[in-house]
Amino acid sequence: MPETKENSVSTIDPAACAPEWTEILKRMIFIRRFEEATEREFRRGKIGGYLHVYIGQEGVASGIITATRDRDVVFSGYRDHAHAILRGTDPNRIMAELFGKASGVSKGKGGSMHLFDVEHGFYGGYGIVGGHLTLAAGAAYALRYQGTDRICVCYFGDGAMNIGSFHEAMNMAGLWGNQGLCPILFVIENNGYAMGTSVERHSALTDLVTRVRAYNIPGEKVDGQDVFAVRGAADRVIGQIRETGKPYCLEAVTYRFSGHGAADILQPYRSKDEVEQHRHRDPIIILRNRLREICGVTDEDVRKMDEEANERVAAAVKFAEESPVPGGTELFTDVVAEHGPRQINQTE
Amino acid sequence: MAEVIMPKVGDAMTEGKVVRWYKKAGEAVKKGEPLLEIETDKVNLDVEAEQDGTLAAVTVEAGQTVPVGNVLASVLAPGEKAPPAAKAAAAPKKPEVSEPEKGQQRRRTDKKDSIKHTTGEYQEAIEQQGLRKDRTAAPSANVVALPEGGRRRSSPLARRMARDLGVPLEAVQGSGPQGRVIAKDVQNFRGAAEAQPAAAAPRASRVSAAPLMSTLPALEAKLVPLSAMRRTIAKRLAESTGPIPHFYLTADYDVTNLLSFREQVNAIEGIKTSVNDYIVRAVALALHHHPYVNASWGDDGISLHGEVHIGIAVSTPEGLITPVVRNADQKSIREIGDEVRALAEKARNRKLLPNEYQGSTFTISNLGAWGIEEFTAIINPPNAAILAIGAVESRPVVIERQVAVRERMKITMSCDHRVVDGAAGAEFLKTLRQYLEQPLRLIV
Amino acid sequence: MAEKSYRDAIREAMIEEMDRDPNVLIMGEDIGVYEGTFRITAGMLKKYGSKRVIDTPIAEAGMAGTAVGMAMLGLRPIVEMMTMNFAIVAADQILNHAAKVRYFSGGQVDVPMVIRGPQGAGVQLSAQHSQTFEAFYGHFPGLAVVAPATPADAKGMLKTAVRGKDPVIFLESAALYGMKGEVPEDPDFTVPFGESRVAREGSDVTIVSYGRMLQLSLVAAEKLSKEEGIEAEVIDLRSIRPLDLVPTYASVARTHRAVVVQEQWKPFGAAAEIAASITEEMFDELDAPVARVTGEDVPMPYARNLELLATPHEPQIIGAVRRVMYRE
Ligand SMILES: Cc1ncc(C[n+]2csc(CCOP(=O)(O)OP(=O)(O)O)c2C)c(N)n1
Ligand SMILES: [Mg+2]
Repeated sequence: MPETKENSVSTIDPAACAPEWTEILKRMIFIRRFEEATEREFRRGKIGGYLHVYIGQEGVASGIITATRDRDVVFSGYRDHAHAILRGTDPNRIMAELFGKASGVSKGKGGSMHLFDVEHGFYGGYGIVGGHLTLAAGAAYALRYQGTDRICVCYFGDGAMNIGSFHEAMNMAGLWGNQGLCPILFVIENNGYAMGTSVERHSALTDLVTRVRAYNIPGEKVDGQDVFAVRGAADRVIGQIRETGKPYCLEAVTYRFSGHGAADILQPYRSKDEVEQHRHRDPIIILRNRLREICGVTDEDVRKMDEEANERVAAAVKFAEESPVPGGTELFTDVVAEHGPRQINQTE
Repeated sequence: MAEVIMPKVGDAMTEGKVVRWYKKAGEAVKKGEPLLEIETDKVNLDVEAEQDGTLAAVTVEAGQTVPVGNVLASVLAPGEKAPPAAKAAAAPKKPEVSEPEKGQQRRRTDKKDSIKHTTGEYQEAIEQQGLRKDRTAAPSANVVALPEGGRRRSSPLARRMARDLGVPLEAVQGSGPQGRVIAKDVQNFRGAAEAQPAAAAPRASRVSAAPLMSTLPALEAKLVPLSAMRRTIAKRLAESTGPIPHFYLTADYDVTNLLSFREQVNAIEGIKTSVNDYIVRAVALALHHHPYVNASWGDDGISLHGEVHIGIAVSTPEGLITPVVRNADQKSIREIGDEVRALAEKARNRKLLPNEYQGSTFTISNLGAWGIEEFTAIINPPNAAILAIGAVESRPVVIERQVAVRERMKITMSCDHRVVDGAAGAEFLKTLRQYLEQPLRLIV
Repeated sequence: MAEKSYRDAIREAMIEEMDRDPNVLIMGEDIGVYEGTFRITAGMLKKYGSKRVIDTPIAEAGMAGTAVGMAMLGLRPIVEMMTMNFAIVAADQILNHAAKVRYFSGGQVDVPMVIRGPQGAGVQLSAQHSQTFEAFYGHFPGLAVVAPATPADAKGMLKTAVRGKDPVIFLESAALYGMKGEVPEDPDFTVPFGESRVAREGSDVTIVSYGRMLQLSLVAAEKLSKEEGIEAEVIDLRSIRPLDLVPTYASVARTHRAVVVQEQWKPFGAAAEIAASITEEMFDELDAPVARVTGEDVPMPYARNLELLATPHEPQIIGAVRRVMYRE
């Protein structure tokens, strides 16, 4: 296995108190407050386009991304705010992106669905369901090809498993993995629904992770609402991926408390009751209760975390609100690196 | 306090209507309880209270449609006092929000009907952080430079019309971009040419009443390509004497007959014509015989103008200006006179429009009224020549070995040597003599 | 006649055709239980059951491809793409299969299917979700491609599409779903493909468009009339393939100038085809180059101000008209 010059992340013992756990709780609370703020700003008309929030699913990305290294890379779909935050992207710049401002991570050109922060190993934010799976497999190949021990983590929803590119990506990753050339962790964020279609109604086989095994990719299910379980699994399999260069798949069973997108108001596909039931398994509450037991975290501690998160989010909203919109000529930059439009069509 | 706003509940929603309030101001509300019903173009929905408290400050009534994000009311927490109304809160903000407010106003012109007008918002985007160049402007026209001395630009329709009407396209002044000849130009050109036969009818009928007009064959306009020799001569002449190589020819005319003809006309017609009117007409007719005098020098050729537009130098308090009598060869002496006087009047009142002082093909400067016997004038580019008209003087002359007193007038012609050679200029002055000394020619 | 929205006109056309012909069915993502993201299919699952209103997985290639098979065996599937952007995933099924099986089978099979869905920019959906596709599909023989601009055309043309024998790409303008207009009640009201219409009469300049840009052109034409005394004739192409330019030619023969308006990128777009055809057929009638009004040649940005700058607006149409009229 190639030599590493990178920082390493220690695995944590789920049974014992460790400072990382409180850190993860803080992050999860922050993500929750951040997402609530984005929904609020969408209602106010400050955020345009599609807005998909991560409320209810925080445990999944938190448990896994905290187990990755700085130079590992992450790909995600459009439900991508938490992933960017966890990779260390400045929340100000994320919020500014959602507001369509020049100070946004993608200069205001991408919006909610296309967050991007290469400096922090976050390779986006994609809007076509399943479209990024092949990209991630290629990225993993590149990492090994270049002789590094970096790995790639690719997130996608249960619904994405039904599109052709999923199967093509899995088979290629499995094939390359046979040669130790595809260090990738596929994470199925199984929140029970693809928009308004439940897993039972969209997948012939509802035990999703078994579908991955058909491509010679090992995998397991994990309780996505229990960040201890997620982090535990992540610690274990990430090391193994790094070691072997073979892909692995985690199916994190989770639930989204909000609508599919901010415009999914009526939610005719599920009852309020169903949502209420799942709120009992709020990943933040589960973690908080656990930390009360093992670390003696108090309500006051949590209140403080909440307050801090609220302040930080308010600052991000303020930053976004006060940032200027992109200059008009930004329209024409970043289209291609070298071969611009034909002169006759050019602005200047 | 929690604000109740018009929430955006659809990706394309920009405004919503308050259908009805379930609660009145002052009523207690519970978190999650519906406060009001709203309507979007897709659905009707209830907006719920976000906290326990009392509904207050309901500012938007049922039936009203407001933009997304607008505050509709607020919910006060138990024990909380209503803030001194939204107005007070908005007041100090006023000066700093003027910019967005301006945008809001502009946007109000964007009717939110099904066509989704965003013109106001678009203008705002341009003003706010616009493009360096206005994208509504024409794309740059010249991607590939046309070869020098290349063909004149013209639209396909203009070419077809020119072909059908037998109009020489090279003679038509193009009014489109880069001088492109467009249909209108051909029409105008043709109109001028046609004015002859077509207008001849009314004029003919007027002949009896005002027999001051003769009809002429159409002039041919064309571009004469420069021969190598012509080019060289032009260049050398220009080098020696400045951009326009001038030379001067002076002729002395006997205008006795002209003056008596004028007197008769004035008496018969009961009008006032001036000598200058006769000169303009005479020059216009003479130009018909000498297209090279009614011409312009250009790098790609000498343009022979298909029309005769005579500029008349008029002095005004501000200086010299030359109003133009268009198609002077098609106009009667009386028409010329009327027009010159109207134009001169306008010139002195500084009311001339550009099209009234631009586009001459030949110019006349007359200092006779100042008693100037003889002078030279500077060519008015792009004309190829100018006439300097001196005063009419009674002078003794020898006619058939007898001394007689005749009315004489000296005319000096300044010529652009690149276009007009000495002999050509002399020929022109000779033709002019026929018209000035035998004035009946002016009307036959 | 009754006043109906573009959205309702589409739903009605599908309901009437499903009532008329048991071989008609509809499939797509979230069209049944969810009732459609744009609520076009509201109530249809209840009415026809899950055999005729099929909620599919997220599998555009699967939807389009199975529809081809269904059509070859005599069904008349309507595939709803949640937006036409997702149909790119099914490009092979549509372009290489639906469009070609009739030809390479020597005419042994009909492929009576419709792929319909919304397209267009305007609500900050950024680069992957804001495109329009008439040039993309219009390029391929074997397809019919239509882009109705009014509720009546939406209904009448969808019925023609369902009743036909060929694969039809039915491009709806998301921005027009709420637009109301008179729609004939006759259940056999259809609008044939390949018949463009004069949407507004005028004698000074010809504006050619379709879909939402047609509506924008009409607004611009009214403004031109009011503010500049220019009377624009506005032609609604309605279908891109087959393309009927005869009324356009007739109009250009009178006005001698044309402006073509499209939402998407300029290079190789529908407007390029139309402008070239006008030039080929009506060259001697033109008194000015045919002008094109198009979106900017960039992927759609998210920021509101940039999106506005990237898409055509009235001022561009008015500017182009003034230009071809030599009014500037
Ligand atoms: C190819 C494609 N088809 C349809 C869509 C519309 N769409 C966006 S999200 C979504 C549901 C995806 O569900 P899932 O993969 O489970 O992810 P989740 O939203 O639940 O996180 C759909 C159908 C799309 N973006 N791309
Ligand atoms: Mg899902």
